[in-house]
Amino acid sequence: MFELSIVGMAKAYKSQVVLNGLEFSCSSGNILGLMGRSGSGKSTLMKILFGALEADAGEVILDSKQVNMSRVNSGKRMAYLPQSSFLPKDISVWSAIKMYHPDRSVQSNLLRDPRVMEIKERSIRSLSYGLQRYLEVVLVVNLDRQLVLLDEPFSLIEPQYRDAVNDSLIRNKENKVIVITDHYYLDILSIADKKILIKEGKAFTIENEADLVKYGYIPKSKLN
Amino acid sequence: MYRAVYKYYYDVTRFNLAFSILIGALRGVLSGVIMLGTLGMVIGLLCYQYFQKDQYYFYYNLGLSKPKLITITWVINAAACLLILIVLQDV
Repeated sequence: MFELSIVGMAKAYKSQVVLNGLEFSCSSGNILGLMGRSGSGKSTLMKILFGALEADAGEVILDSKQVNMSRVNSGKRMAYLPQSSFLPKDISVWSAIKMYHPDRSVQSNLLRDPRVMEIKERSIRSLSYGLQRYLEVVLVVNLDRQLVLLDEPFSLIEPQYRDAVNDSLIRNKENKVIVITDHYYLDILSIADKKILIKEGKAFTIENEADLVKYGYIPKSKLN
Repeated sequence: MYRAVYKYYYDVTRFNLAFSILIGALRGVLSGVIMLGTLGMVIGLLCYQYFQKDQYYFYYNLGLSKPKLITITWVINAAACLLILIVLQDV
């Protein structure tokens, strides 16, 4: 059991303050859902956590060790799904699986998924965006990492793959902190064990849709 | 891991090779070979950065940082360049 703690995180682009002393924590075995309007700093925070962007101030503590945020954390502690597609387009799905998961038992597990098995021989380029995104999520989430950062995993994917992504996250959350951010707030509300809304650079704990209305993230008319 | 490194090496070097072959055709074989380990590398990296920069995340997740990938690619190409130059000198 370990914990991810974000302490006093601050970031500004010139005069625009994006993160303003943001703080929260999350224990392993949990999915942390981050919500917020476009430009609220969700992706900025993800990039900072991964080390792809430098914060102006703040600390990230993972498993009682301070994370070096001055360089990309390409080590064995974190995995990151960026917003844009990152898989090389001219390789096959099977090649991507072998590169990401050399362990044969993990490969077998992945191929038990009929969606993955069906596209195994196809090139990444030939897949629809939804399938590509699904494959990316599956590859990243199954990596043996303490912290998994997923930036918009549900983006533009079809409903049946959304359910499959949810299943994959739940199956893989043990011994990890999975941080997920997306505009599909209903998916976030249903899957995340802890939900946070970023507004004006600060973190607010969310329990349900009514809280999202309270903080002005969704209009009252969207309440079920 | 080796598969991923080879993939990056291939992607950068194809731009490098295209540029070096062009220079070789225009200014002679020796110039082309020297380009392979010097300016061709820079061209390869710039082209990769322009066309495929999002794919760096593919490698970051495997523990391969950008400096590590660039260093490996540069060392291989510089060694290949030196080897070809030595062979050419003997011919």
